[in-house]
Amino acid sequence: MEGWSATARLRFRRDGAGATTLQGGATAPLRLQRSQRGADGRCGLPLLHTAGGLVGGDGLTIAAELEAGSRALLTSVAAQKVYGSRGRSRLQPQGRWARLELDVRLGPGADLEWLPQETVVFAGGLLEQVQRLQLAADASWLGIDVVRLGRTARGETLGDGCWRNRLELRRGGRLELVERLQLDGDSLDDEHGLAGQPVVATLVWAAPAPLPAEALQALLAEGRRDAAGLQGQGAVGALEQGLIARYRGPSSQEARRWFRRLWARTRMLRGLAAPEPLREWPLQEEP
Amino acid sequence: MGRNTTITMGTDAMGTERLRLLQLASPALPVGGFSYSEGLEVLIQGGRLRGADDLEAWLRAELWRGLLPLEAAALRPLAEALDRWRQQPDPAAEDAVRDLDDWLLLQREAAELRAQQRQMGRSLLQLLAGLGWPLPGGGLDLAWPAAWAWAGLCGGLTPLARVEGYLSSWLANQLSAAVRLLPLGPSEAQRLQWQLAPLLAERAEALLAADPHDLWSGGIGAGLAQLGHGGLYSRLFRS
Repeated sequence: MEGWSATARLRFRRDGAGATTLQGGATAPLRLQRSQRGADGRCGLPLLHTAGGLVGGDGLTIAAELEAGSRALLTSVAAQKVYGSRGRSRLQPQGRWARLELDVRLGPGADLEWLPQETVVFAGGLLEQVQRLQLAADASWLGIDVVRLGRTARGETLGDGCWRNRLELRRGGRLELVERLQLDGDSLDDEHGLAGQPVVATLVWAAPAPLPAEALQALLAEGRRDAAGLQGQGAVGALEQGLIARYRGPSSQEARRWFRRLWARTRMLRGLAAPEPLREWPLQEEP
Repeated sequence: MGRNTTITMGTDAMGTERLRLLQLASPALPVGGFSYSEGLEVLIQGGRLRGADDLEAWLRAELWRGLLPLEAAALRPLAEALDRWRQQPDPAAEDAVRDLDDWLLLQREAAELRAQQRQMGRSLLQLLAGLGWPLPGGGLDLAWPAAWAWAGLCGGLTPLARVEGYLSSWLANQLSAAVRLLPLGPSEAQRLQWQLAPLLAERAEALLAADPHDLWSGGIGAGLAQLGHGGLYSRLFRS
């Protein structure tokens, strides 16, 4: 059986009054919800995936283009489930990969925040995530990725499943960050990998301009201070132009709380409005 | 031209190649490798690596599924691209080198690791320029794996020897850092290095044949440790 493949194509444009407007559409089972006008003219758009989850062979692509000076915030309405694929079909016992692709182009001065809900990969699930990010020289990208490997509430692990993330971020055509992560087998359990924890999470902020050394040090120090109190392990560091934060631990909520504070700090640093609570995110605390 | 002549010439070249490999992989190579722990300092201070067994498991994991294998597998295409650049010093040839160099360096999420790789690359390129092997264009701005590939090319090392030397020099640096951080004696470190030689040889052969773009890293814990170095209160090492 062939899997389905759904695509959302989004184009954001800044209008004469400084507000960002959306043109675009999605094919089933992806659906765009009503967009919201945020502070600083930012367009907030929740995405809804009505099929509930991905099975092997399914693919989901989100292609977003932000024109000069536009600002958007993309979220998802529910956790993204990826069902087990290994050993499910007699024809393909080795299983089939599900794909989640993100294709982003940011024009001059454009600003995209990508804050989806967590992804849950069930035992035996095979998921490849692809993030292709192309930024103009002074564009800003902030993205989070929170992944739970196995339905731990049921005592499940990823088993013989596999999770991959392939990321390429280019600014003005030049590479700025590359990631080729794969977690499966021994890397789920050993200290070098996930150390037996179910949740891996990453925040990447590609800043629109080099950060002054003092501001960067302050941001890193705050990020570390917050990480010290986490249930689980978190670390932050400077990217070529921006910041990366990584979490491994038991709780996706913990990772998101930490990321929310970092996110708020990036807004503050840029002189933008503090984030409003996201209706789609459950159990939020104020930063 | 008898068979003997060929063998004699081959033996000479092979002897020189072997000696160059020993020189490049020696801890005396002045590239500053001894000042980096690549996350070991964080792991040991945090009590996550406590002794020789933990260390060995860590080193094996990096050899099987860290970023090190991507770099080692990239040495062959790097040397090929460098060779083309040497023969045809045009922008397209240079771009091919720089794209791969960037692609490797930018997978290091910790700024300390990127700084390490840039510094070690620069030092090695400087050394080679002094030996009469400047990069085409005379620049010094390639990171450690690309600089190593250039050294291997200039030194006439076989492609396999370049990969073996890269892995072996990494291992020696890691062990030298561990001796200063753990209760681990120098003979214990030598025992580990001796013991890991067959694995290094096995990995070198496999990685020589691998396309780096097909490889993945599972080193979430390695990345966390390397990112954590900037937050250490007191430190001996620069990464």
